[in-house]
Amino acid sequence: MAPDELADSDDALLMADTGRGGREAFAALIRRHQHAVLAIAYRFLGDRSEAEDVAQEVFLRLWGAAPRYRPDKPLPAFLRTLTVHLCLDRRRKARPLVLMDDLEPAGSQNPEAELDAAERRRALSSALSRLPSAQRMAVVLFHMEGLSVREVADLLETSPKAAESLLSRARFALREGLGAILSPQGPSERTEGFSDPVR
Amino acid sequence: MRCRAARKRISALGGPIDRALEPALSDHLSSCPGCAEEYRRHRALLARLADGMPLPPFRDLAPSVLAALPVRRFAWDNAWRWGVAAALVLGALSVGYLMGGHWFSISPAPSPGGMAFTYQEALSGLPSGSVEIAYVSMVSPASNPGETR
Repeated sequence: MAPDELADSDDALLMADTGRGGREAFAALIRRHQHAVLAIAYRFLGDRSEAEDVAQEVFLRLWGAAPRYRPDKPLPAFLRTLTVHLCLDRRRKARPLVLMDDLEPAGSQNPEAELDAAERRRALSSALSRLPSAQRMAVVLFHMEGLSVREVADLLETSPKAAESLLSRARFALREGLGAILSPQGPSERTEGFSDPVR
Repeated sequence: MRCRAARKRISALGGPIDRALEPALSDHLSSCPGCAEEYRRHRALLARLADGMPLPPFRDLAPSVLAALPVRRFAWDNAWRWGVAAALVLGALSVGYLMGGHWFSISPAPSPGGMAFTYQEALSGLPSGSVEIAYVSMVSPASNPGETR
């Protein structure tokens, strides 16, 4: 297939070509979908090189599965399933989550605002890293990737009700964990969270 | 509604935040500054999450993935064809063996006087265009009475 054709081909055609051993078609698929895979992996794992490792594994498995691929399931959903499972597997076996230290503040006219924004991002990342894996993945998929509760439930192999509950607990924990970051004054005027007694 | 229940409800709010709150929660928020603050913080959290987390620049994965692929992949979906081909060849050989085991026997080397005619002579009698390989050996005591042991 010519490069122009590869860029215009739909996923099913590229997968069929990949299934016959077509490396150019496979490279086109990787370039088309790598960002989505990396986004989930990075937001869940919090580390760029780990995310790249997982994404590489996802595409190697895709290559292996290509001859048996049936286009009744859209490729992005297939890749998302692989990514979620590999991320959860990796977290199950590996060291604790790390913070997202790759996030450099972009150059700006207002360095103070940038520092504030960077601190907020770091605080969010830190609060996320303290969540249990399933809760964290649910937050990444629902709030950052924009999936529905049903899709989150399918990916986490649970019921929609259980997924709602995971999300609810995660949001509660994040609210507690983020403390003053969520106050209108921002991180510079920090108070230790919410203190009035629960009735 | 009590605060504990109200905060549980607040945590469950995950979608479009401006949708109407249930009346019981709404009443509670208007009379409880602590839960109202919790609700405001919840909205701030949702906004923060919706902003997402900026992604760092990633390298292009295609070269490293392609380099990690196995050199040659066996096409399992075509494996049955190889199996059928192998079975046909084996079947043909078996039938040939059963019909005339001598096809597989190694004939003794012909004596100088035993060769009745050459391959060219043997093949010249075949119709033109046919593809045949003929191996003709006329070595036998009956057909070669002059041979001495």
